[in-house]
Amino acid sequence: MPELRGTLFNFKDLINKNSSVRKLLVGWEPVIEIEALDGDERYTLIVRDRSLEEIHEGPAQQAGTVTVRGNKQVLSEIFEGKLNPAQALIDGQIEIYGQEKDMIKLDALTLVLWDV
Amino acid sequence: MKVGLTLQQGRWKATARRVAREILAPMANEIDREGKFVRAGIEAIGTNGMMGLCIPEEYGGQGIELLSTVIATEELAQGCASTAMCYVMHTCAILPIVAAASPEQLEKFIRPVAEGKILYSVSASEPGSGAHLWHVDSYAEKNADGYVVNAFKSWATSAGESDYYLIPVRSSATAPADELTLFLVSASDPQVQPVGKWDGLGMRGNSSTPVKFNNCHIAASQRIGRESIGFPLLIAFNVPVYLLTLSGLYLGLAQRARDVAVEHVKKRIHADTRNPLANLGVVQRYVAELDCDIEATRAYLYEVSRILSYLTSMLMELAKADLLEKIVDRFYQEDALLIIAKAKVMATEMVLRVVNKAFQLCGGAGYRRGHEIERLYRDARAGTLMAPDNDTLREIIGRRACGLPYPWQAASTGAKD
Repeated sequence: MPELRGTLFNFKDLINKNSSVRKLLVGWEPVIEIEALDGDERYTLIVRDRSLEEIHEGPAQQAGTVTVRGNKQVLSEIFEGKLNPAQALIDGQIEIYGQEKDMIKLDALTLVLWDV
Repeated sequence: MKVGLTLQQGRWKATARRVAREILAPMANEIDREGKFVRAGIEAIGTNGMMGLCIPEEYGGQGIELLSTVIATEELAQGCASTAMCYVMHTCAILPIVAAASPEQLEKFIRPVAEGKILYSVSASEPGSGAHLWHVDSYAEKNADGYVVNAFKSWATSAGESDYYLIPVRSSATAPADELTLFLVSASDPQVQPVGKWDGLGMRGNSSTPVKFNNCHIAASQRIGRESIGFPLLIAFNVPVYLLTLSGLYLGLAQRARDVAVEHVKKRIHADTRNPLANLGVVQRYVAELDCDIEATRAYLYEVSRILSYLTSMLMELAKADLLEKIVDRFYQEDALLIIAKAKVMATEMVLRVVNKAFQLCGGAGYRRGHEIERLYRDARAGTLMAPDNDTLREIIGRRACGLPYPWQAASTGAKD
């Protein structure tokens, strides 16, 4: 199992078990694309009904609400909680495309997940 | 690639510039001479839709977009620094309220701000604590009707003129010095008493007198957020906006001093040389130094404002989910506060260098009472002293650079240096 894939599935479990994070998901149902720039890996995360409901390999079938791009290692570190996503964005380690409010929400929930 | 300002930022820059030139600047000398409060300027800012620039869109504002607010402050300061100072102290009260207010409070205290109908002031410093926000002596006593507060706040911009004061006090008599609760106190409360008349060296129109909260009965409906969440709210939403807009103010003041000096050297012609002073190499060098100093600060401040817009929006998400307290400490660790602290130190020290050189360029003419450069020189002097004063900020920046905790973290753990 590729490292990033495993990290994302672990991230899904952690999010869905975390009541604080789920508070942040109220009223937010994005489709998130994760794209590793140094390999042929792309994942689609679907948030629905206050949980990260689904992860599948490949690009989103519908237009992605948020796209996160970066090297595999950086993405893995973010989803493992080793790297603050806001800092990674400021430092140019990742790019996030989408509505600003979705980008902010994604950063916020990642931060909470690894801090609470 | 996005280069320069957004359309929204450009629009607010143009609006603030127009208000500064057409309304604030013509009044500035009279305000300075007579120490009159800047009421007309504040009303003009409100009429032109700028009193709630950083309010999220759902409450009638423009969104948490701090660069627009910083740029607006920079422009307003070029017309009248006293007016811009009242604007700073109003603006930095807004986001702590947005973050923690109940729906009823948002309707009462935030929506009218976006319509320019409320002027806020933040009053935090006390005689015992000075610039140390993490050490407040006054406290709230809870009773059946709400709270009773006795506090002497040393400095309150717009004292006696604002509609509400946002004040932090300790949550109870036994609470630690940084366990704070925020209250919005109506200026119409007869127990709220501004002390004396403001008569400062500069910034003479901003009514920065002390305010006494004398056995003040405050309803629970005027408490902002839970008890004891005041310090995280201030660190997340008041301090960043305050330091950024204050830096914008002094950047604008420096720009105006530079422009006044350049106008002077272009017009001033000595009879013997029959050339304007601008033709002198030494004058050109002075002007170049002013421009480099100003542009360096502007580049840093704008970049920091963009970053803080993002981080503040993220903190707002967390505050709305009642997760702020758990995250604020992490922000200390990530040192997001330091980049703003550096902006304040840079801007308030840059402006002193700039007004000093601009003064020199204006020669003896600038030394006369009533010359604009003389007013700017006095207005500029407040920046390094304003809380947190630059020495306190340097200590904080230096502590973190040396791997030591923030002063309030050291105080709460009892750690010794």
